[in-house]
Amino acid sequence: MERLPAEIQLHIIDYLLDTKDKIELSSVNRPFYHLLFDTPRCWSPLDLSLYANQITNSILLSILRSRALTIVPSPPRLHGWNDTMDSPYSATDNSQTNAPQSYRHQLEFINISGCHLLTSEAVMTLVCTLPFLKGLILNRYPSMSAADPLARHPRHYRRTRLTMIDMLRDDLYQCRPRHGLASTTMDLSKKPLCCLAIADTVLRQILHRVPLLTSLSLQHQSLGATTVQQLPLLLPNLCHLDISSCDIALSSLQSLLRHMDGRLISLKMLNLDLSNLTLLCLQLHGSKSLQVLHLSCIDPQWFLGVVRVVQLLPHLHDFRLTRLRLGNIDPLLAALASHPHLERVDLSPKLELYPKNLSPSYTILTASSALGTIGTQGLAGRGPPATATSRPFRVMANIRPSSSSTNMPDSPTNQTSGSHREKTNNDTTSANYTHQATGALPPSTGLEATGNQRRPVAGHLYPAHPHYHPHSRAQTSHYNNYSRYNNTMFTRAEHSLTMTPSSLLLLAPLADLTELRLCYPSIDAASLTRFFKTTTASHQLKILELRLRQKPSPLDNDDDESSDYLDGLSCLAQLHTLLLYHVPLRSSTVEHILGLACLQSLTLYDGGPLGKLQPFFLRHWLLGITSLAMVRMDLVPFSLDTLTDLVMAPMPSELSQDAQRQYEGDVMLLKQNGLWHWIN
Amino acid sequence: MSVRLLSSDSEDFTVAKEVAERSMLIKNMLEDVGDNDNPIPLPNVTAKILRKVIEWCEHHLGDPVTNDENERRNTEIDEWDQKFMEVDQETLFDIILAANYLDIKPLLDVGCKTVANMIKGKTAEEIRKIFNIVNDLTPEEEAQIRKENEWAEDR
Repeated sequence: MERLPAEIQLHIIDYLLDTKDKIELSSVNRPFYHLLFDTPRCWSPLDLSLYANQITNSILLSILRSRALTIVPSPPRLHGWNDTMDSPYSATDNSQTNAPQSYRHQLEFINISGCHLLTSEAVMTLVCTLPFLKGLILNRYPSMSAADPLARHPRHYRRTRLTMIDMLRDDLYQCRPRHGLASTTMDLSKKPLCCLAIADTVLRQILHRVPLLTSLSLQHQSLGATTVQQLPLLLPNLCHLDISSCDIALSSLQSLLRHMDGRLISLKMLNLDLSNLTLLCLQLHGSKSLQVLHLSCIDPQWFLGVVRVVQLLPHLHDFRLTRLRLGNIDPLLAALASHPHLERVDLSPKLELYPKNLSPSYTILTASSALGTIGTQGLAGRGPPATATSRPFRVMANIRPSSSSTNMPDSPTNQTSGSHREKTNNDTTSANYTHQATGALPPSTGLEATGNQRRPVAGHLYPAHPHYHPHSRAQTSHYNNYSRYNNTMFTRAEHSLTMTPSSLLLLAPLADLTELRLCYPSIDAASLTRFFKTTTASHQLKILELRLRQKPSPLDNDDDESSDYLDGLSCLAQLHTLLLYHVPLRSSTVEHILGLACLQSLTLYDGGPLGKLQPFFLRHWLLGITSLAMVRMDLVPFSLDTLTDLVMAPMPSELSQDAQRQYEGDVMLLKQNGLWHWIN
Repeated sequence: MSVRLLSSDSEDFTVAKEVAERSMLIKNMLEDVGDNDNPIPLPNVTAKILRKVIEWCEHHLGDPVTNDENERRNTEIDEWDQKFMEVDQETLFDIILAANYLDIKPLLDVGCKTVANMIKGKTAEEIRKIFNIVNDLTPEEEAQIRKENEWAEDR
């Protein structure tokens, strides 16, 4: 690699999207160190939000300094800043070549979301040092998810380990106070003390310093009327804006849309209230340019307005709608189907968690941390014991999958054997299978912690509750489930995406559809199968997320094709990411998933007794899908002894000592250098 | 219509003009010299590598050209290209150098992505081992780099 010229080495570095990869490369030898640290541009995009708990003012300055950037201190008196002062490098300024740092070699994208240890002065210094920034992410909280393709980086998979399996995406579930009096932006899943809160006046000063910005994200920040008014003027090149969950007045939002007329390519405004006038503004001023639109339909009365907006955005290719409470979404699907170049569709209903009986103050924080990704660092001294944030761990003791489980198919030395395709004898296995939630244990306690030794677990709010049964979901449009975590009870409310089952076929002609996410759609297995098997859309799908409210089939219904939701799955030849929640997994599912040759990431939650039907299902997937790099499962029982020779340490020692037990806890397996690792 | 290409080790290749024109260098040369039977000399590309490059250009003949930097950056290497790039490291770097010299951006991208994928998720020591790179940093320098970047340690 050393014989490649520097320009090509830089081109290679361009494809390293994770900052840690670049740091490792810089430590390889002296030439790489100098190449990376003398070229600020190659650190773009610099995502410091991943290290939000470590980034202090001095570390930020040290990061900038070590990347050959000359620190430009922030103006001395922040509060005395005059908004009318000229920006040092205005967008139309032709004297950029006279700037202290070369425009071409600048760091252009930075993300400091949730860097709660930074002061306003440090953020100002950052933007003064980087006046040529094109992308700036100043979200109040760090994101739980990463954009593709970084989302498929093994390191990112590891980072998601502490996040609950059904909370892997932002803005899906809302965790809200029981009294329901909070504003729409209140979300208890966020940690109020660990956030990057930027005052409105400071924000104006920041924007004043980065006139070349094309992409700006301000999730959960407070946007005053003056800031919103000035934003289009200060940032004439802005075309990607994310103001999801911001505190912004309706009139300000409408004014923003009016003034950004024809300029915005991407607008994300999840968790914001809508109104007729807002929708009209979107319709009138977004139609020329909007390609990406993410919004929430908090009040069902605006649903038809949203449909109208979708119909009238001719360039739309990425649409996300959340928090839909009522209404049949057929008109929306029809509107989406009218966009032949639509690439991403993400529809989810209102999904909420309500904590109640909050006696001690720390329980709120504890509950909040359970939903997040960062752990307990920001709550030191206030929260519960560290074990409370451990991941769930459930074991069904003394259950052996079947007598056939002792015949190990597909051992690494005998991978050509076709014996793994054989079906399991249900009669034999059913006698041994019992579905029981035995409580949640942190991995450190393992099997040894039983009865009174069990400790509460923050990572799993609901299944540990004695009345919880994952397979007993009601087929109602509004579903409540009570569960307990520490001293806090939770109510879980999940609405449905009501649709005529066959209406999904409206999306059939979309030849460019690469990502489809549907949460709790009222769809039947036959319609879904038909969608997969007969449509052009399915051929290009790369990401599929499906959350159902179906009751996983009992063992004796395994052959019932009418309830097989995944019958057409193998038609999705390009699929690289598959997430299935509460989707019944059948014997045939093993084959369907084995047929996905490009699959890289598989997430399964509450899939029913697949381990009983096909004891070696997981082994088959790990060995049979060469591209597979990550498997995450919870409430999908499997026998540990089917993996003992396949999965490298550090499988928890407590488990490996009793590998014949069925394990149905939260498990993450990562493949690195061709070997599977159990991630604790 | 066909074009003749002459590799650095004097092997003559005859390829369809549209295939050859995937290379911006050759395209510009053809525009400059006009129709001509003389072979185009490519002194920086051996026959072995030129054969591979032509194979790639023939397979990707009808591909749309994208100028969107983000799209180019985020697009996965397709299955055929992954197989195509399953070569030894020396050949891989020769293909990258040839793509750069011949100005075939999509091939350069595929080559660079392949190398980047070999680096992703690896430690410095693993990268050294994969690419046979000698560590010329002193232990003190290594410690310094580690300290400077302590904030990015996985915790």
